[in-house]
Amino acid sequence: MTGPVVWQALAEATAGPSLLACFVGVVLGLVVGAMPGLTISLAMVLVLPLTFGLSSVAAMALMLGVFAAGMTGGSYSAILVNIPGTPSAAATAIDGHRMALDGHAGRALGISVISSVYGGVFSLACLVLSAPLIARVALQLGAPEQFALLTLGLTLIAGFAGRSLVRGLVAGVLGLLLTTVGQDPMVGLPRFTFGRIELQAGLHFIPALIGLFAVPQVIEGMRAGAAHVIPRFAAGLTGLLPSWRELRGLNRSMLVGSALGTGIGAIPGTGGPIAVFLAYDAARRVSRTPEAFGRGAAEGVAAPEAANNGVTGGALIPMLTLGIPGDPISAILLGVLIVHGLAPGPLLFREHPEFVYGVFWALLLANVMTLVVALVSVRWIVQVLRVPPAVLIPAIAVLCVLGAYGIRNTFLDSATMLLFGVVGYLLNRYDFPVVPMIIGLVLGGELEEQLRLSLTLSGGDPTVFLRQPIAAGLLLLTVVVLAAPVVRAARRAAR
Amino acid sequence: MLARLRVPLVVLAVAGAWAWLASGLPLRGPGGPGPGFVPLLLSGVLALLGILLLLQAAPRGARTEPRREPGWRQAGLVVGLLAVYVGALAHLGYATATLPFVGLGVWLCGGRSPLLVAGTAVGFTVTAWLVLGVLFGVPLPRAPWR
Repeated sequence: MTGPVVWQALAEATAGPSLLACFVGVVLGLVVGAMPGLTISLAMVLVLPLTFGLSSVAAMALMLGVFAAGMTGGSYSAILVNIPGTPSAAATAIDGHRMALDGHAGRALGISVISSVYGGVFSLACLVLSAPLIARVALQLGAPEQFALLTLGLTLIAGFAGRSLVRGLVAGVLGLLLTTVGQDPMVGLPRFTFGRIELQAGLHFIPALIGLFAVPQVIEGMRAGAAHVIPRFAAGLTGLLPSWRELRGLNRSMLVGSALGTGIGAIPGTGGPIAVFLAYDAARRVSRTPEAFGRGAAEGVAAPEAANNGVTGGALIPMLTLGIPGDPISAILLGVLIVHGLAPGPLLFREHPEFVYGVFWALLLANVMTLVVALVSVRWIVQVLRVPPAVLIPAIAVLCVLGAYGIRNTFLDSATMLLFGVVGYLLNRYDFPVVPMIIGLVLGGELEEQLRLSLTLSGGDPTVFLRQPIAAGLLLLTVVVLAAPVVRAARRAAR
Repeated sequence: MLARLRVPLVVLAVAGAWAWLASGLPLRGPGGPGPGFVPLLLSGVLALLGILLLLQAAPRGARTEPRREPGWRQAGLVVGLLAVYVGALAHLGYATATLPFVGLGVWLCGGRSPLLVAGTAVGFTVTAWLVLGVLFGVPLPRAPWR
């Protein structure tokens, strides 16, 4: 059964529309990743409208192209001008820019591209090996366990997303509250619709995503617009390809980075920025020349770059198998699935195996394409660093409005996008993380259904969550996550 | 003091308003919790979090105020312009609304060269139409008279 499905999926992933979509995604990812101030999440929400007319596999090929290439592109500006294009490229700047100043910019970029693809392929192998097994276990989970799992996922994300767990939780609960707008999922009664027929289907999640991610960046971009200075590159770009001997010498760093990136990417609420610094530190520890780190060590570029692309496959593990997006990027990918009528989670592996294998092939394709396009086009793509924000910001604003409109051809979605843009701006301003709100918006419907289903099946008995060992264990973990900041504060006070 | 408490009080007000709206929904449904159960539960959790924020803010003076200068003017300008653009799209269609919007946006972001303003406006409007509308088949708003 699996054999034909795998080849059918390969055929779809390598069909013309998927290849074109992946290529467009890779180019956009490299361009946006290279531009400081623009995030991969922003690029992904802006290309979301392009997926509406594509098949589900081609849509994922586009998005995964942006994701994988965006992670790689982030290193361009980190190496050349010491400004990380994305937060996940921050550790690359330490040794990468030093190499550029020493006249090895091309070599640093080449190592960064090759390490990125190494990490991406490593994480894909982990995804392919682990995801079907996790999905098989997840299929055994009942409603109480699923509710407990979703609660733990949301709490972890709220805890990691900002500096304060309480603020993260406020944002998450606000997201959950907003998912209660529209028809009740179990009895169909309208809630908080104020008699408006348009609100009966609820607030669409994609305009909310676009608004929360993009509008605050447009506002910030406008503030910074006039202050833009065209950067001067550190050195010429020659000698991109490292020697085979040098690559073999970097293998250990790339392996450490890939493993850490994949593992950390799979934990909800973490992601690239954490993975890269841990990988940098781990690579220094296992290096034969730790003293070279910080002074232009190639291993200091290889490890974080392998780690940030290792995150790509890792992040897909909880998203595909459990339906839990661990970070904003997997929340956007989950949105693509929903737009294409697919429900993420363990059932996806049973009901749409051709799609799941299509995603695996698409991720491999995205990594291979990133390698080729990045190495061939690096000299041209770095020129985007010279593009002034005055050109970019209005373009982003237009794409936000058109993207929201394109979902259902209604200006209500554009207005929703704008409303969430204001909310996102206010959350940023008052130090509330946006990510938990997005995850709340994504998980809200499922969380409510599993909670009510558990209580209905148990005759309204709330101890149902404590009688199931897995659910009880997951809720206990949630309590530990909630209690951790209190314990830390008490210890600090005692000292 | 009151400024520090502003954010927790807004959180509490949202929780209260949502609970009040949810109170009109049935709490019990056939054989289990009804449509009002989860909104009310979440309002309660939000209120609890609001109280925690209040406790954090009051005695220790934890920051609830904006981190940087608020930049309300730019924020209001962007949101206002986007709202006008949405309205213009509905009444004028994609091309007629997008050209001046992008041109104005470039100028407001510091682009002063007429060539840059006009070139970006025309170049972006045409490119977006080609990529979104033609290549990927994304529906773009049409003028009512078309």
